[in-house]
Amino acid sequence: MLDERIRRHLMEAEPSELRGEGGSELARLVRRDTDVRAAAQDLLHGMRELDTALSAPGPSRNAAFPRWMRWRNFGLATGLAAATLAALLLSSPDVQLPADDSASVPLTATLEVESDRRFAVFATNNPDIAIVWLFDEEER
Amino acid sequence: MRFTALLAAFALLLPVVAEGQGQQAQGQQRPTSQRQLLDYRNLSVQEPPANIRLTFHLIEADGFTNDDPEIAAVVTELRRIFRFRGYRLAFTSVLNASPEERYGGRGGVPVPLNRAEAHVSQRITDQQGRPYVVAAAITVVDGDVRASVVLQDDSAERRGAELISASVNLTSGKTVVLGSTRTDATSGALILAVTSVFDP
Repeated sequence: MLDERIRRHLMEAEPSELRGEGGSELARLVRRDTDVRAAAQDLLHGMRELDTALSAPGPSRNAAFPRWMRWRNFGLATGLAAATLAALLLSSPDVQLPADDSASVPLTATLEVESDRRFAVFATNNPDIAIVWLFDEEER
Repeated sequence: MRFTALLAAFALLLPVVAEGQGQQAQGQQRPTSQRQLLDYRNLSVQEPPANIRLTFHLIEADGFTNDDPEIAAVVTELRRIFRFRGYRLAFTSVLNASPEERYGGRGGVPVPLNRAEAHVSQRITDQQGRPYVVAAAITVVDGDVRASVVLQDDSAERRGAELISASVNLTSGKTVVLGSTRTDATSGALILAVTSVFDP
């Protein structure tokens, strides 16, 4: 099990850090610690899957979600990445989201989803709303 | 003889009556006899909500330009993530579920399982006349409310096909938005927003 602080850093990390690139503390940890590296690679794998699913064939989808927006969406890069990672973490039984001590806990922090289909949970700016996207097998 | 039997019966009943009064004095008595008995046995029971109001908004994505104020908050968040051209409210369904407590048996005494269940469903037609069935199987376990939500196609060609299916925990006043791209010939996506409100 990963330390809570490391999990939080992983959630907020850029993909390059998850790949162990650069000189940040987290990148060094990814290079050094096999457990952290495994978790980072799981997250990277999930991000790639989500990336593929969201840019799946279909004119509406390609128009709906251009590649540059996915991680740089209106300055929400961290938020969206965190949302994606949150989804991946929620999908994984071994990793828990860090608890939120604030009075208004976002719904995504407590949301538990089960589905026969693969899914992603997106955090939103509205703490009362969470978005769960269900993927079909061919979207993977 | 009759007096002796009466005395014996009174002696047997007395402790129960006395303990029942004690419970009442502590303000722990519940409105039903089952509750009284369970309280007497010091079994804690977490009451499920008396009613759970579920509001389903089925939203069709893409190709629509009008904004519907009823789904404005959800659409605002969808627009931050996806770039479908527009979102249209296909239907609204409000269903009330009253979870019923489940009891197990132990020596003839009903024992609460701290579990309550309810099931609601409705057949509904969108503005194009396409029929759907929206359903939710609700379970309340130790106070946690969970719903298995299903949206099915109810058209003659694809009757029973699950368009959206997921199990989520519900929080009163919050909205879980379940979305999926269409798998039939139509483009765009179907999005089912589920808002729950618990009445104590």
